[in-house]
Amino acid sequence: MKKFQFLFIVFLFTNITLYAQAANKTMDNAIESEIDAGFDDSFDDELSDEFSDEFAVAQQQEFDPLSGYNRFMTNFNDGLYRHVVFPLGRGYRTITPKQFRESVGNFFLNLEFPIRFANNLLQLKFQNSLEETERFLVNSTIGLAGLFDPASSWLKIKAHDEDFGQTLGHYGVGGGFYLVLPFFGPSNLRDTLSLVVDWQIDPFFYQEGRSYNLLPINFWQSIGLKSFQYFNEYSDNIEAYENLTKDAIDIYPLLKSVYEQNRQKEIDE
Amino acid sequence: MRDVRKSIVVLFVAMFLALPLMANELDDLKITMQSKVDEIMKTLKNPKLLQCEQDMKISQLADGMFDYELMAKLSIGKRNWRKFSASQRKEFIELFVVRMKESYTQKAHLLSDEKVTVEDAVQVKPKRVYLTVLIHGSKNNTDIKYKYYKDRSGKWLIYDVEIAKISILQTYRAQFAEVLSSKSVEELLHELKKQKIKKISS
Repeated sequence: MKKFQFLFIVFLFTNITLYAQAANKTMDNAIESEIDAGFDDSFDDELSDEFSDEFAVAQQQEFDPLSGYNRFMTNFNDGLYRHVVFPLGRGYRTITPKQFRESVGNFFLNLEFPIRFANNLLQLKFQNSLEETERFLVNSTIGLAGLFDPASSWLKIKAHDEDFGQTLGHYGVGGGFYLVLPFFGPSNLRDTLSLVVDWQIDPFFYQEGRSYNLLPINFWQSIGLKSFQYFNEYSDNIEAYENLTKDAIDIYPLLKSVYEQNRQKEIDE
Repeated sequence: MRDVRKSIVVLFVAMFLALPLMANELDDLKITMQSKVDEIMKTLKNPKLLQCEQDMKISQLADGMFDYELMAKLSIGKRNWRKFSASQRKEFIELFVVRMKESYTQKAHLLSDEKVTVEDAVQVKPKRVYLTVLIHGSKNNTDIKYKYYKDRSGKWLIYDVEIAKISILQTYRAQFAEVLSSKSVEELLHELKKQKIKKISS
Protein backbone atom coordinates (compact mmCIF):
# COMPACT_ATOMS: atom_id res chain seq x y z
CA MET A 1 0.00 0.00 0.00
CA LYS A 2 2.82 2.37 0.95
CA LYS A 3 4.42 1.66 -2.39
CA PHE A 4 1.31 2.80 -4.20
CA GLN A 5 1.17 6.00 -2.18
CA PHE A 6 4.72 6.71 -3.13
CA LEU A 7 4.10 6.03 -6.80
CA PHE A 8 1.04 8.24 -6.70
CA ILE A 9 3.06 11.13 -5.23
CA VAL A 10 5.73 10.67 -7.88
CA PHE A 11 3.05 10.68 -10.58
CA LEU A 12 1.51 13.83 -9.13
CA PHE A 13 4.91 15.53 -9.10
CA THR A 14 5.86 14.85 -12.64
CA ASN A 15 2.60 16.24 -13.94
CA ILE A 16 2.45 19.44 -11.99
CA THR A 17 6.10 20.04 -12.31
CA LEU A 18 6.45 19.70 -16.03
CA TYR A 19 4.26 22.75 -16.22
CA ALA A 20 6.27 24.64 -13.64
CA GLN A 21 9.48 23.83 -15.45
CA ALA A 22 8.17 25.09 -18.73
CA ALA A 23 7.15 28.32 -17.02
CA ASN A 24 10.64 28.70 -15.56
CA LYS A 25 12.37 28.20 -18.89
CA THR A 26 10.18 30.71 -20.63
CA MET A 27 11.08 33.33 -18.05
CA ASP A 28 14.72 33.35 -19.09
CA ASN A 29 13.80 33.13 -22.74
CA ALA A 30 11.48 36.07 -22.33
CA ILE A 31 14.30 38.32 -21.15
CA GLU A 32 16.67 37.08 -23.82
CA SER A 33 14.27 37.56 -26.69
CA GLU A 34 13.27 40.98 -25.44
CA ILE A 35 16.87 42.14 -25.43
CA ASP A 36 17.18 40.95 -29.00
CA ALA A 37 13.96 42.74 -29.81
CA GLY A 38 15.49 45.82 -28.24
CA PHE A 39 18.20 45.82 -30.89
CA ASP A 40 15.84 46.95 -33.60
CA ASP A 41 13.89 49.17 -31.24
CA SER A 42 10.80 47.08 -31.73
CA PHE A 43 10.41 47.01 -27.98
CA ASP A 44 8.25 50.08 -28.12
CA ASP A 45 6.50 48.89 -31.22
CA GLU A 46 2.91 47.82 -30.78
CA LEU A 47 3.19 45.18 -33.48
CA SER A 48 6.55 43.73 -32.54
CA ASP A 49 7.39 40.08 -32.97
CA GLU A 50 4.81 37.71 -31.61
CA PHE A 51 7.28 35.29 -30.11
CA SER A 52 8.52 37.09 -27.07
CA ASP A 53 4.93 38.09 -26.43
CA GLU A 54 3.98 34.47 -26.01
CA PHE A 55 6.72 34.02 -23.46
CA ALA A 56 5.61 37.06 -21.57
CA VAL A 57 2.06 35.68 -21.37
CA ALA A 58 3.31 32.35 -20.04
CA GLN A 59 5.22 34.15 -17.36
CA GLN A 60 2.17 36.13 -16.29
CA GLN A 61 0.04 33.10 -15.66
CA GLU A 62 2.45 31.43 -13.34
CA PHE A 63 0.91 28.55 -11.46
CA ASP A 64 0.23 29.72 -7.91
CA PRO A 65 -3.00 28.15 -6.66
CA LEU A 66 -2.32 28.97 -3.02
CA SER A 67 -1.43 32.63 -3.57
CA GLY A 68 -3.95 33.83 -0.98
CA TYR A 69 -2.62 31.60 1.77
CA ASN A 70 0.98 32.11 0.64
CA ARG A 71 0.68 35.86 0.76
CA PHE A 72 -0.80 35.73 4.24
CA MET A 73 1.96 33.40 5.44
CA THR A 74 4.70 35.55 3.86
CA ASN A 75 3.46 38.57 5.80
CA PHE A 76 3.06 36.52 8.97
CA ASN A 77 6.63 35.25 8.73
CA ASP A 78 7.96 38.70 7.88
CA GLY A 79 6.29 40.18 10.97
CA LEU A 80 7.53 37.30 13.09
CA TYR A 81 11.11 37.75 11.89
CA ARG A 82 11.15 41.51 12.31
CA HIS A 83 9.38 41.75 15.65
CA VAL A 84 10.36 38.54 17.43
CA VAL A 85 13.16 36.53 15.82
CA PHE A 86 15.48 39.42 14.86
CA PRO A 87 15.37 41.26 18.21
CA LEU A 88 16.00 37.94 19.96
CA GLY A 89 18.73 37.14 17.43
CA ARG A 90 20.47 40.47 18.05
CA GLY A 91 20.33 39.80 21.79
CA TYR A 92 21.70 36.31 21.26
CA ARG A 93 24.49 37.77 19.16
CA THR A 94 25.60 40.16 21.89
CA ILE A 95 25.83 37.46 24.55
CA THR A 96 27.55 34.79 22.44
CA PRO A 97 30.93 35.02 20.70
CA LYS A 98 30.97 34.40 16.94
CA GLN A 99 33.08 31.29 17.44
CA PHE A 100 30.36 29.81 19.66
CA ARG A 101 27.65 30.38 17.04
CA GLU A 102 29.88 28.89 14.38
CA SER A 103 30.53 25.81 16.48
CA VAL A 104 26.82 25.31 17.10
CA GLY A 105 26.27 25.52 13.34
CA ASN A 106 29.14 23.10 12.67
CA PHE A 107 27.78 20.62 15.20
CA PHE A 108 24.39 20.42 13.51
CA LEU A 109 25.91 20.39 10.03
CA ASN A 110 28.17 17.49 10.94
CA LEU A 111 25.37 15.29 12.26
CA GLU A 112 23.27 15.94 9.17
CA PHE A 113 25.89 14.00 7.26
CA PRO A 114 23.52 11.09 6.39
CA ILE A 115 21.23 13.43 4.41
CA ARG A 116 24.05 14.85 2.30
CA PHE A 117 25.73 11.46 1.90
CA ALA A 118 22.55 9.70 0.76
CA ASN A 119 21.43 12.43 -1.62
CA ASN A 120 24.84 12.79 -3.25
CA LEU A 121 24.78 9.04 -3.73
CA LEU A 122 21.26 9.13 -5.19
CA GLN A 123 22.49 11.71 -7.71
CA LEU A 124 25.46 9.44 -8.53
CA LYS A 125 27.88 12.07 -7.25
CA PHE A 126 30.23 9.45 -5.83
CA GLN A 127 33.17 11.78 -5.36
CA ASN A 128 31.00 14.09 -3.27
CA SER A 129 29.71 11.20 -1.16
CA LEU A 130 33.26 10.13 -0.53
CA GLU A 131 34.28 13.65 0.45
CA GLU A 132 31.27 13.91 2.76
CA THR A 133 32.40 10.70 4.47
CA GLU A 134 35.93 12.07 4.86
CA ARG A 135 34.52 15.27 6.31
CA PHE A 136 32.37 13.35 8.78
CA LEU A 137 35.28 11.22 9.97
CA VAL A 138 37.70 14.13 10.29
CA ASN A 139 35.27 16.57 11.89
CA SER A 140 33.81 14.01 14.33
CA THR A 141 37.27 13.17 15.67
CA ILE A 142 39.82 15.94 15.18
CA GLY A 143 36.98 18.46 15.00
CA LEU A 144 35.81 17.46 18.51
CA ALA A 145 32.43 15.87 17.75
CA GLY A 146 31.82 18.28 14.90
CA LEU A 147 32.21 21.51 16.90
CA PHE A 148 34.99 22.55 14.55
CA ASP A 149 35.38 22.12 10.82
CA PRO A 150 39.04 21.23 10.17
CA ALA A 151 37.97 19.42 6.99
CA SER A 152 37.14 22.81 5.43
CA SER A 153 39.82 24.95 7.02
CA TRP A 154 42.78 22.58 6.86
CA LEU A 155 42.00 19.96 4.23
CA LYS A 156 39.95 22.29 2.02
CA ILE A 157 37.17 19.73 1.63
CA LYS A 158 33.92 21.67 1.41
CA ALA A 159 30.49 20.30 2.29
CA HIS A 160 28.30 19.27 -0.65
CA ASP A 161 24.88 20.32 0.44
CA GLU A 162 22.23 18.11 -1.13
CA ASP A 163 18.72 17.25 0.02
CA PHE A 164 15.98 15.08 -1.43
CA GLY A 165 14.28 18.05 -3.09
CA GLN A 166 17.51 18.70 -5.00
CA THR A 167 17.78 15.01 -5.86
CA LEU A 168 14.32 15.07 -7.43
CA GLY A 169 15.22 18.33 -9.18
CA HIS A 170 18.39 16.74 -10.48
CA TYR A 171 16.29 14.09 -12.21
CA GLY A 172 14.04 16.68 -13.80
CA VAL A 173 11.24 16.86 -11.27
CA GLY A 174 10.10 20.48 -11.14
CA GLY A 175 9.07 22.37 -8.02
CA GLY A 176 5.31 22.18 -8.36
CA PHE A 177 3.38 25.08 -6.89
CA TYR A 178 4.88 27.60 -4.49
CA LEU A 179 4.22 26.99 -0.81
CA VAL A 180 5.19 29.19 2.14
CA LEU A 181 5.73 27.27 5.37
CA PRO A 182 5.04 28.85 8.74
CA PHE A 183 8.31 29.95 10.46
CA PHE A 184 10.59 28.33 7.88
CA GLY A 185 9.51 30.46 4.94
CA PRO A 186 9.44 29.84 1.17
CA SER A 187 9.23 26.31 -0.21
CA ASN A 188 7.31 24.45 -2.88
CA LEU A 189 5.36 21.23 -3.19
CA ARG A 190 8.40 19.13 -4.16
CA ASP A 191 10.69 20.48 -1.46
CA THR A 192 8.08 20.28 1.31
CA LEU A 193 7.23 16.64 0.58
CA SER A 194 10.95 15.92 0.28
CA LEU A 195 11.48 17.15 3.83
CA VAL A 196 9.57 14.11 5.05
CA VAL A 197 11.97 11.87 3.14
CA ASP A 198 15.03 13.62 4.57
CA TRP A 199 13.64 13.38 8.10
CA GLN A 200 13.81 9.59 7.87
CA ILE A 201 17.59 9.76 7.96
CA ASP A 202 17.98 13.00 9.93
CA PRO A 203 19.40 12.04 13.36
CA PHE A 204 17.76 15.10 14.91
CA PHE A 205 14.26 13.99 14.07
CA TYR A 206 12.45 11.71 16.42
CA GLN A 207 10.53 8.97 14.66
CA GLU A 208 8.25 6.66 16.58
CA GLY A 209 9.62 3.14 16.36
CA ARG A 210 12.85 4.04 14.57
CA SER A 211 15.78 2.06 15.87
CA TYR A 212 18.29 4.91 15.70
CA ASN A 213 16.72 7.93 17.39
CA LEU A 214 19.83 9.71 18.55
CA LEU A 215 19.19 12.66 20.79
CA PRO A 216 15.59 13.79 21.26
CA ILE A 217 13.12 11.72 23.20
CA ASN A 218 9.98 12.93 21.50
CA PHE A 219 8.79 14.78 18.41
CA TRP A 220 8.43 18.20 20.04
CA GLN A 221 11.94 18.14 21.40
CA SER A 222 13.27 17.53 17.94
CA ILE A 223 11.23 20.49 16.67
CA GLY A 224 12.73 22.61 19.44
CA LEU A 225 16.21 21.48 18.57
CA LYS A 226 15.69 22.19 14.86
CA SER A 227 14.29 25.62 15.68
CA PHE A 228 17.38 26.40 17.72
CA GLN A 229 19.57 25.35 14.81
CA TYR A 230 17.70 27.71 12.47
CA PHE A 231 17.66 30.50 15.04
CA ASN A 232 21.41 30.17 15.51
CA GLU A 233 21.93 30.38 11.76
CA TYR A 234 19.44 33.20 11.17
CA SER A 235 20.95 35.36 13.90
CA ASP A 236 24.01 35.91 11.71
CA ASN A 237 21.93 36.58 8.60
CA ILE A 238 19.58 39.27 9.89
CA GLU A 239 21.18 42.01 7.77
CA ALA A 240 21.08 39.86 4.66
CA TYR A 241 17.29 39.52 4.99
CA GLU A 242 16.86 43.20 5.77
CA ASN A 243 18.97 44.32 2.82
CA LEU A 244 17.17 41.94 0.51
CA THR A 245 13.72 43.18 1.45
CA LYS A 246 14.35 46.84 2.20
CA ASP A 247 13.72 48.16 -1.32
CA ALA A 248 10.98 45.68 -2.09
CA ILE A 249 7.94 46.96 -3.89
CA ASP A 250 6.13 43.80 -2.83
CA ILE A 251 7.92 41.18 -0.72
CA TYR A 252 5.67 38.31 -1.81
CA PRO A 253 6.84 38.07 -5.46
CA LEU A 254 10.34 39.11 -4.39
CA LEU A 255 10.86 36.27 -1.91
CA LYS A 256 9.14 33.84 -4.27
CA SER A 257 11.47 34.76 -7.13
CA VAL A 258 14.55 34.58 -4.90
CA TYR A 259 13.56 31.16 -3.57
CA GLU A 260 12.95 29.74 -7.02
CA GLN A 261 16.19 31.13 -8.45
CA ASN A 262 18.14 29.91 -5.44
CA ARG A 263 16.77 26.37 -5.61
CA GLN A 264 17.48 26.24 -9.33
CA LYS A 265 21.08 27.22 -8.60
CA GLU A 266 21.40 24.54 -5.90
CA ILE A 267 19.98 21.88 -8.21
CA ASP A 268 22.29 22.88 -11.06
CA GLU A 269 25.36 22.61 -8.85
CA MET B 1 34.08 28.86 -59.35
CA ARG B 2 36.84 31.32 -58.85
CA ASP B 3 34.51 33.60 -56.98
CA VAL B 4 33.40 30.85 -54.68
CA ARG B 5 36.97 29.97 -53.83
CA LYS B 6 37.77 33.59 -53.31
CA SER B 7 34.89 34.12 -50.97
CA ILE B 8 35.82 31.05 -48.98
CA VAL B 9 39.34 32.40 -48.56
CA VAL B 10 37.95 35.76 -47.54
CA LEU B 11 35.66 34.04 -45.06
CA PHE B 12 38.54 32.15 -43.47
CA VAL B 13 40.72 35.22 -43.26
CA ALA B 14 37.85 37.13 -41.69
CA MET B 15 37.32 34.35 -39.17
CA PHE B 16 40.96 34.30 -38.15
CA LEU B 17 40.99 38.05 -37.87
CA ALA B 18 37.82 38.00 -35.82
CA LEU B 19 39.13 35.52 -33.26
CA PRO B 20 41.87 37.65 -31.72
CA LEU B 21 39.59 40.67 -31.95
CA MET B 22 37.00 38.86 -29.87
CA ALA B 23 39.59 37.89 -27.27
CA ASN B 24 40.72 41.49 -27.11
CA GLU B 25 37.20 42.70 -26.55
CA LEU B 26 36.78 40.30 -23.62
CA ASP B 27 40.09 41.41 -22.16
CA ASP B 28 39.02 45.02 -22.51
CA LEU B 29 35.85 44.36 -20.56
CA LYS B 30 37.86 42.75 -17.79
CA ILE B 31 40.40 45.56 -17.72
CA THR B 32 37.67 48.19 -17.61
CA MET B 33 35.90 46.37 -14.79
CA GLN B 34 39.16 46.00 -12.87
CA SER B 35 39.91 49.70 -13.13
CA LYS B 36 36.36 50.58 -12.04
CA VAL B 37 36.59 48.22 -9.07
CA ASP B 38 39.96 49.73 -8.11
CA GLU B 39 38.53 53.24 -8.35
CA ILE B 40 35.50 52.28 -6.26
CA MET B 41 37.69 50.71 -3.58
CA LYS B 42 39.91 53.79 -3.55
CA THR B 43 36.87 56.01 -3.19
CA LEU B 44 35.45 53.94 -0.35
CA LYS B 45 38.76 54.01 1.52
CA ASN B 46 39.33 57.71 1.07
CA PRO B 47 38.74 59.21 4.54
CA LYS B 48 38.56 62.77 3.20
CA LEU B 49 35.37 62.17 1.25
CA LEU B 50 31.95 62.48 2.86
CA GLN B 51 29.55 59.62 2.24
CA CYS B 52 27.47 61.65 -0.21
CA GLU B 53 30.62 62.53 -2.16
CA GLN B 54 31.57 58.87 -2.24
CA ASP B 55 28.10 57.97 -3.50
CA MET B 56 28.34 60.55 -6.24
CA LYS B 57 31.73 59.29 -7.38
CA ILE B 58 30.64 55.64 -7.43
CA SER B 59 27.49 56.49 -9.31
CA GLN B 60 29.54 58.36 -11.93
CA LEU B 61 31.92 55.43 -12.27
CA ALA B 62 29.03 53.06 -12.93
CA ASP B 63 27.27 55.36 -15.38
CA GLY B 64 28.90 54.36 -18.64
CA MET B 65 28.71 50.65 -17.92
CA PHE B 66 24.99 50.04 -17.47
CA ASP B 67 22.17 50.33 -19.95
CA TYR B 68 19.71 51.55 -17.33
CA GLU B 69 17.00 52.28 -19.85
CA LEU B 70 17.00 48.75 -21.23
CA MET B 71 17.01 47.42 -17.66
CA ALA B 72 13.93 49.49 -16.93
CA LYS B 73 12.12 48.12 -20.00
CA LEU B 74 13.12 44.53 -19.32
CA SER B 75 11.99 44.78 -15.71
CA ILE B 76 8.48 45.52 -16.96
CA GLY B 77 8.48 43.09 -19.88
CA LYS B 78 7.07 43.58 -23.31
CA ARG B 79 3.47 42.71 -22.55
CA ASN B 80 3.05 45.16 -19.69
CA TRP B 81 5.16 47.81 -21.40
CA ARG B 82 2.31 48.24 -23.90
CA LYS B 83 0.03 49.40 -21.10
CA PHE B 84 2.32 52.40 -20.52
CA SER B 85 1.66 55.67 -22.32
CA ALA B 86 4.62 57.61 -23.73
CA SER B 87 4.79 59.93 -20.74
CA GLN B 88 4.38 57.04 -18.31
CA ARG B 89 7.27 55.24 -20.01
CA LYS B 90 9.47 58.27 -19.61
CA GLU B 91 8.51 58.70 -15.99
CA PHE B 92 9.01 55.03 -15.18
CA ILE B 93 12.47 54.95 -16.77
CA GLU B 94 13.50 57.99 -14.74
CA LEU B 95 12.24 56.51 -11.47
CA PHE B 96 13.81 53.13 -12.18
CA VAL B 97 17.20 54.61 -13.09
CA VAL B 98 17.34 56.61 -9.85
CA ARG B 99 16.43 53.48 -7.94
CA MET B 100 19.07 51.36 -9.66
CA LYS B 101 21.81 53.92 -9.09
CA GLU B 102 21.01 54.37 -5.41
CA SER B 103 20.73 50.68 -4.81
CA TYR B 104 24.05 50.09 -6.60
CA THR B 105 26.00 52.74 -4.70
CA GLN B 106 24.60 51.47 -1.40
CA LYS B 107 25.61 47.91 -2.16
CA ALA B 108 29.10 49.13 -3.07
CA HIS B 109 29.55 50.31 0.52
CA LEU B 110 29.32 46.70 1.68
CA LEU B 111 32.57 46.06 -0.20
CA SER B 112 34.73 48.48 1.72
CA ASP B 113 36.46 45.88 3.91
CA GLU B 114 36.51 43.01 1.43
CA LYS B 115 38.98 41.65 -1.06
CA VAL B 116 37.57 41.78 -4.57
CA THR B 117 38.88 40.07 -7.70
CA VAL B 118 37.71 40.24 -11.31
CA GLU B 119 37.50 36.90 -13.12
CA ASP B 120 37.82 36.29 -16.86
CA ALA B 121 34.93 37.34 -19.07
CA VAL B 122 33.03 34.48 -20.69
CA GLN B 123 31.25 34.80 -23.99
CA VAL B 124 28.01 32.82 -23.87
CA LYS B 125 26.52 33.98 -27.18
CA PRO B 126 27.75 36.21 -30.01
CA LYS B 127 26.15 39.21 -28.35
CA ARG B 128 26.29 38.19 -24.67
CA VAL B 129 29.23 38.21 -22.27
CA TYR B 130 29.20 37.36 -18.56
CA LEU B 131 31.85 38.83 -16.29
CA THR B 132 32.17 37.59 -12.72
CA VAL B 133 33.51 39.60 -9.81
CA LEU B 134 34.37 37.62 -6.68
CA ILE B 135 34.07 38.99 -3.16
CA HIS B 136 36.26 36.96 -0.86
CA GLY B 137 34.57 36.45 2.51
CA SER B 138 35.97 34.79 5.60
CA LYS B 139 33.90 31.64 5.11
CA ASN B 140 32.78 31.60 1.51
CA ASN B 141 33.00 33.77 -1.56
CA THR B 142 30.13 35.70 -3.08
CA ASP B 143 30.04 36.04 -6.83
CA ILE B 144 28.56 38.97 -8.69
CA LYS B 145 27.88 38.23 -12.32
CA TYR B 146 27.59 41.19 -14.68
CA LYS B 147 25.71 40.35 -17.87
CA TYR B 148 26.69 42.36 -20.93
CA TYR B 149 25.02 42.64 -24.31
CA LYS B 150 26.37 44.27 -27.44
CA ASP B 151 24.29 47.23 -28.48
CA ARG B 152 23.80 48.42 -32.03
CA SER B 153 26.81 50.71 -31.97
CA GLY B 154 28.97 47.73 -30.94
CA LYS B 155 29.36 48.83 -27.35
CA TRP B 156 29.15 46.29 -24.52
CA LEU B 157 26.68 47.34 -21.83
CA ILE B 158 25.38 45.67 -18.67
CA TYR B 159 21.70 44.68 -18.73
CA ASP B 160 21.50 42.50 -15.62
CA VAL B 161 23.44 41.75 -12.44
CA GLU B 162 23.32 38.47 -10.58
CA ILE B 163 24.34 38.50 -6.93
CA ALA B 164 25.00 34.96 -5.66
CA LYS B 165 23.10 33.71 -8.75
CA ILE B 166 20.02 35.81 -7.94
CA SER B 167 19.18 38.02 -10.88
CA ILE B 168 18.22 41.57 -9.94
CA LEU B 169 16.17 41.86 -13.12
CA GLN B 170 14.18 38.70 -12.42
CA THR B 171 13.29 39.88 -8.92
CA TYR B 172 12.07 43.23 -10.26
CA ARG B 173 10.24 41.53 -13.09
CA ALA B 174 8.40 39.27 -10.65
CA GLN B 175 7.44 42.23 -8.48
CA PHE B 176 6.27 44.55 -11.26
CA ALA B 177 4.27 41.74 -12.88
CA GLU B 178 2.55 41.05 -9.56
CA VAL B 179 1.76 44.72 -8.92
CA LEU B 180 0.48 45.27 -12.47
CA SER B 181 -1.73 42.18 -12.31
CA SER B 182 -3.99 43.96 -9.83
CA LYS B 183 -3.08 47.64 -10.08
CA SER B 184 -2.84 50.27 -12.81
CA VAL B 185 0.36 51.74 -14.24
CA GLU B 186 -0.45 55.04 -12.51
CA GLU B 187 -0.66 53.28 -9.15
CA LEU B 188 2.69 51.56 -9.75
CA LEU B 189 4.34 54.87 -10.58
CA HIS B 190 2.80 56.41 -7.48
CA GLU B 191 4.12 53.56 -5.37
CA LEU B 192 7.64 53.98 -6.77
CA LYS B 193 7.64 57.72 -6.18
CA LYS B 194 6.42 57.33 -2.63
CA GLN B 195 8.99 54.71 -1.69
CA LYS B 196 12.36 56.13 -0.78
CA ILE B 197 15.37 53.84 -0.90
CA LYS B 198 16.24 53.04 2.70
CA LYS B 199 19.72 52.96 4.14
CA ILE B 200 21.56 49.68 4.05
CA SER B 201 22.32 47.84 7.31
CA SER B 202 25.59 46.08 7.92
